[in-house]
Amino acid sequence: MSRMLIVARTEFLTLVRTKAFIIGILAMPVIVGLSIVFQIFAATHADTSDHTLAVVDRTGALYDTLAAAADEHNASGVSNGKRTGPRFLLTRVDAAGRSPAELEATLSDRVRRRELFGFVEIPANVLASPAGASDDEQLAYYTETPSYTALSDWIRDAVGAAVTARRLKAANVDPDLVKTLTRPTRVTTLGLVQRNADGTISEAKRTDALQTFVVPFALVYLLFLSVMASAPQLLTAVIEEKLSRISEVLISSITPFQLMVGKLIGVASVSALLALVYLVGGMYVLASTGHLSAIQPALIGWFAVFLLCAVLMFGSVFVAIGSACSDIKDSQSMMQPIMILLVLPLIAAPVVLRAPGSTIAVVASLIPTATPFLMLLRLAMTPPPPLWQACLSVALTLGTAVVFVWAAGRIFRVGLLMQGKPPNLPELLRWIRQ
Amino acid sequence: MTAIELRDVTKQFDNQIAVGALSLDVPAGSIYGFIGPNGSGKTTTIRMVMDILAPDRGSIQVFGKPSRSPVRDDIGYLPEERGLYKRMTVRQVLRYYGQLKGRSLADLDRAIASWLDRLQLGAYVDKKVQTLSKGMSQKVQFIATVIAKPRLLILDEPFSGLDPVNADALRDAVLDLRRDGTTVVFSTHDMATAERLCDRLFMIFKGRKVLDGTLDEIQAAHSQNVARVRTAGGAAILDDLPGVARVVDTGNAQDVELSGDPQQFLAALAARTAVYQFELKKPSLHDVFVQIARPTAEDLAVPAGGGR
Repeated sequence: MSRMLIVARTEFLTLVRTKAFIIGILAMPVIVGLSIVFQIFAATHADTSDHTLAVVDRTGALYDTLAAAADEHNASGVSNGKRTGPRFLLTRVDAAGRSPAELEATLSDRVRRRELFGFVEIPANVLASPAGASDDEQLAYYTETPSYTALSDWIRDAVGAAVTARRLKAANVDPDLVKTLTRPTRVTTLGLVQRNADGTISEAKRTDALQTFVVPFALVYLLFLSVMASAPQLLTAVIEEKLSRISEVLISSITPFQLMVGKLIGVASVSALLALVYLVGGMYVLASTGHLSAIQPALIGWFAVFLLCAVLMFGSVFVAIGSACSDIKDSQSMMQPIMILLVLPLIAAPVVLRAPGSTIAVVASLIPTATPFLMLLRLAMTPPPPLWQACLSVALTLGTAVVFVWAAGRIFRVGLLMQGKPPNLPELLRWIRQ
Repeated sequence: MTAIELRDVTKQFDNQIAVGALSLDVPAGSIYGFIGPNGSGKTTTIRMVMDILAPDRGSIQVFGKPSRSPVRDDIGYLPEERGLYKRMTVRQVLRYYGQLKGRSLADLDRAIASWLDRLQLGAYVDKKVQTLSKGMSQKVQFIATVIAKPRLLILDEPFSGLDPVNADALRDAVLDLRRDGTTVVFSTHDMATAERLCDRLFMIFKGRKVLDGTLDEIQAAHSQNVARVRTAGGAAILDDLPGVARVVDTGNAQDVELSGDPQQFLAALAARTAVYQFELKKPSLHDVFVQIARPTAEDLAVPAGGGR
């Protein structure tokens, strides 16, 4: 076996045999699963408490309608005899003979004493139908917990519905008729119709949110995770080897370049294994839910190419930093710009997702350090980018990866034998030219 | 046959000469002591021999060939700072190092079993390196250096930090390897061990060769013509004896610095009194080392503007 492959195999086994790797592989689906379960649970179970709302109804006509609406709301928040939402309990406040300021102060005190969650004042002229809306019509909702918007939203809608119904009635218009006439028009988003070879025309398919958003994003994040799970480990491994002089023993058996490339092959294999596990798992889930067509086979090929490019590019940078530094602390500051380069495409991903054909998306996806993530994203979406753009991006990224590996090899060769203060940029450039 | 041949080798770093015009022949099958103060150019020389660094000038041959792969597969190197992969087992580490030297797994497994048994580490073959004691790790690293049966061994302070039992075990192993034809370059600051173990010694100082020869040759070259004598007459008898330059009285005996031939001095002394002991004092390697490497007033001077 070639010595480079011996290094690659050892690097791969060392990383894969660690408990952290095995736990990491298992933990990811568990964390994702738990977060979904938590979100569902939180959405249905988080708020099942009673909220008492005092209503100062200065119209004198709306309270009963609101109380009925509250009962209806409370009944809808029960599933199989269990409460799944909050209960809004209304209490009528008689404002007769009390000054507004005095009444508001008294009710505020009751809120502070937790007898009430809040109170609302419905102005008397809310039922009037003036030509234009005025501030006098506004409901005033008082609370100590303004971040809780479920109650304020509900009372706004409930009063709004009651007021609208009354206004329609006053205008001799049937509210049910209005509801029927103003029902919204629905839109179905479809793909394009295909003209088949035999002259027939196949029906357009409904677009699938899974294929449009979930799969592209999931692939980009998987690529990011696969790179992050292995490439940065090169940095610590190289520093450790350098400090313990293992590297000096190794390069008495193998050239520094062979050693570095062996290491890169090792971590690329780790990334590939990780990605394979999740891809197979993800495709199994898609297949079992009848959505396997959401992921095109060609996409897996692109994913593999971009994974290799990303690992080679970022891995070689991590190797170079590791060999140039004499301890982990020194390497942290040099790591930061690289981590930013890695994360930037993820930040730009939503922009590309919204307008994949825009100039900014095209340019961003052709920048070599962003290409693996952003071009993959564009390729996973419809319509895919023109083939020439995809090929150009691969050529640019592969070219950059080769330059990075070459430059890292030069730095690695010199850096491995250096101790003490880490080099500055001009020194690194000198090492590359040496 | 010559194991290592350096001809006029020079290496500079940032305009500073690390090794200057160094020529050296290490005979095959010998134990060659490599001594010199820190920063004198030892490590640079070793790295050039292993083809980790290229010389700026001059030529280096190992077993008659330029020190490039595959010749360096014949070199085993134990650096002074010890390190092994902590999370690997002893077997995995030894296989890895051996395979990188181009040895087959079957050969390696036999050699691993034999070496571990010899150094009482057989029970630890599948233990992770991080569970071993410091001495055990050091022995594993020694095995990693010799596992691929190199013809040339370069050992940098192989015994430092070892207890006497383990140090003896490694020293015996080194001697056995030499008996089997392995050439050993032994870099050390421990002059007593170097005197005991090495067939020849080489000292590098400020990048230049300052000593090269057998211990006897070096001692003869650096002898200060001092005789230790114990006589019936004591120190007083030496007062007006011809050929005496200086006398240091150490009580029962006297160290006499001679200005002439020791044999004539002995004859004159014996004619005058009963001589119980007469020994021509040889300088120890330690003495020679200190004599060469002792800082001069120039070395100790604070550079202008460098003081506080």
